[in-house]
Amino acid sequence: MAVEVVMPQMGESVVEGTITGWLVKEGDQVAEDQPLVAISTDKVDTEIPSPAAGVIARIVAKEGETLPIGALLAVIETAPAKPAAPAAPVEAAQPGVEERAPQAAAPPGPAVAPAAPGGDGRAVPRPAPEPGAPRYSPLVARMAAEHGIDLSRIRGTGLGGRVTKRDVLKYLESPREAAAPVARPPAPAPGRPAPVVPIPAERIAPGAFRAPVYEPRQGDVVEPFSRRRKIIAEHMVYSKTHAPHVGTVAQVDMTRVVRFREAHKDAFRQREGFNLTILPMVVVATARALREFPRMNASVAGDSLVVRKEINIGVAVDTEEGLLVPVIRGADQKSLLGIAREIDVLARKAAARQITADELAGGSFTVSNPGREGNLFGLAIINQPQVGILRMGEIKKTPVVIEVDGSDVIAIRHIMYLALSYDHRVIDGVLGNRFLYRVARILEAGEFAL
Amino acid sequence: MEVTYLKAINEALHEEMGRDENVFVMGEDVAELGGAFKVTEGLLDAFGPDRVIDTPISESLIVGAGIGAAMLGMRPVVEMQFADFISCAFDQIVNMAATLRFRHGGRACCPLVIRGPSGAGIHGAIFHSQNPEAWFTRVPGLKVVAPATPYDAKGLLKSAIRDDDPVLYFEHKRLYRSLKEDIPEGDFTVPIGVAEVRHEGRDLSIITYGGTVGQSLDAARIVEKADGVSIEVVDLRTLLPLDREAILATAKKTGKVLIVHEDRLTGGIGGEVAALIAEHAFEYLDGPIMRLAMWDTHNAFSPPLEEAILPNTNKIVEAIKRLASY
Repeated sequence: MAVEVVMPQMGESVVEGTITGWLVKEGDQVAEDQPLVAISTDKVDTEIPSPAAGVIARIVAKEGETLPIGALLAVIETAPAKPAAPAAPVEAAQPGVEERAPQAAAPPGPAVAPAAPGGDGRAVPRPAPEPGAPRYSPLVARMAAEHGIDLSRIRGTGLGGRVTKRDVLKYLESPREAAAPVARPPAPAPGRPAPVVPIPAERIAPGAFRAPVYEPRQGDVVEPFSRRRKIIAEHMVYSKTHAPHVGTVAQVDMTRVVRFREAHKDAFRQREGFNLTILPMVVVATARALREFPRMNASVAGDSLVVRKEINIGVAVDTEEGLLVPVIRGADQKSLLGIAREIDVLARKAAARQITADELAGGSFTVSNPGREGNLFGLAIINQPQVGILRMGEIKKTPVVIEVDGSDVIAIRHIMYLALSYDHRVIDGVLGNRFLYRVARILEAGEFAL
Repeated sequence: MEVTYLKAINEALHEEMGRDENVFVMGEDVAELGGAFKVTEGLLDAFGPDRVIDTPISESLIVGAGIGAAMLGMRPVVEMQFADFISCAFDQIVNMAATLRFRHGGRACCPLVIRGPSGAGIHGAIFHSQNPEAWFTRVPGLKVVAPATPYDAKGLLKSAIRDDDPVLYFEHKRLYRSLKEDIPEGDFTVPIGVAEVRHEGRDLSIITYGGTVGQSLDAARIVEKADGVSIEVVDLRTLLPLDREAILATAKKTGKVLIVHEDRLTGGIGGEVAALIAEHAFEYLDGPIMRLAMWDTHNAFSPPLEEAILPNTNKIVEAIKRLASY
């Protein structure tokens, strides 16, 4: 910190003093109260003590000079002076920069006050405007504020590329044709080759897109979002914008699963009163794999990944009011039969609008089974705040190459593409792949029991 | 009926003197000669020497006598043979006429009109070319008008004569015979303190008055045709009090303002208009408020020099283009 040494008040009628001699020189280390300079007035001769300990940074008053009370005599730096940052070129703060530009005929821009000199003639530093930073007229600035426009997106047609009222109006009239800023390379000096400047790419700031306004047509049916639909829409947009999704797809040979189902479905139906489907087997396989890859059974909470202890698998169920995802709690603790029963009960409750909030809450992972036809595979949107979701594709008889007794043969198998979407903020590709591969292997092994 | 600017003033005097016997005319050579420019021609024959009075060459006397007559209920119209000479009557105007109502607590008034041919462009050199309006536009108690058309010349003079306070009426001598306009016959007035939009536009405004209104309109048409810039031209007509609403309205409408006057730049009306806009319409501005006026010098006799010193249509065109491209 700089401390100023000034001519002290040495008596009521004393208005000035003469420097008779400096007792220190610039760069000297001084202690507090150490005499610095001898002063002579018409009343007294005295020595001025140092107001602080430090280094004499600058001596302003010369020997023999007569100065008024309060005049600056010297500056003491109390802290070790840091290497001085290169001072901003004074010119940058001076007016007239524009006037020196090639468009000499340009009307004067808004005046910038020159750096005011301090009392002792030193220039008072003031923040220099960014060189080349655009200036906007009051009207343009106000219009930008009113319409929330980023002016750097507008190509100015005024003098020196200034953005004019017309430019803003034009921009507002055609919001989708957002103009790019002109990063004008400086004109090359005569005789010198022009520098290679990359052509500026169009930059469109977020929020530039506006969906076309709906124009009613005969026969259109306008269906306002239900509350559930609004929540789903919000959820989907949130998930897509917050979690960078990676999708990965495994080809799963479901032949054993299908055979298992074929073998048991009639007895099952008789005994249980509902159909045995593939979904419970996929849930069982997923629960087993999640036990082996606990990081996939997790949530994102702020800046943290929370690895969940309970494996609660949500199962997407289509209802008239939209998709519902009831949760099978402790899925890894339950048998295939238990899971099949639970899915059946939850699905029926969901369809009958009898499902409770508790039955929808607390999922740690989700399996989606959006139907059989026309669904080779698809990448689901993660159910927040979970970190992954599996989506079952259609099971299709497909010719594939398999190894039988050491030789390759083409066989017709029941193939399903199983897609995993995971949150790449927290799940790396290796983990995602290994988890999906594990689910696929469990299904391919088909070792289920009822 | 098509009349010249000069004839319109003459008609106003005839009609007002016919309408009100308290109106009379006084000045140098206004009676026998009919005025140096023949503005008062025919008045002596029509109204006789008691109401059309030649005076000695003393502007202070002319205005002083006018103030006295006005205090006693007359409505004198006094003439400065050239507006340049109004400075000789400065004390009578700013200390006497302008303050009368104030000094008497509102119980006295001074219905005096001071006419003066002003303006340059006729190679009148230093003493016959001046635009002295800005000496007076900061004096409370005065009104200052500067008509730009025959219609306004007649209507504003009638309003000035009927006004109960001193009005300075600056008629531009270059317009006397160069401007003709079809104006309605008989009585009409133009209100004091009300500007007129001479030409509607949306991209840029010219605010002007008096001798530069016609030049501004010409320039506006040239630029509109050549460059498609839509220009609004506002004629202030009254310089004191200024029509703030009209000034701010046009500034807010177009966001770019060029002020043009034949009077000198420094201390001219343009400075006040610019300040009004900067203060009250700042957020509507899309460019600097620009002024085009006579150079800060004395007028020249030499035609090329006078041409250089004064604003003209070409200079206005250039100024419009600069501001429009800003």
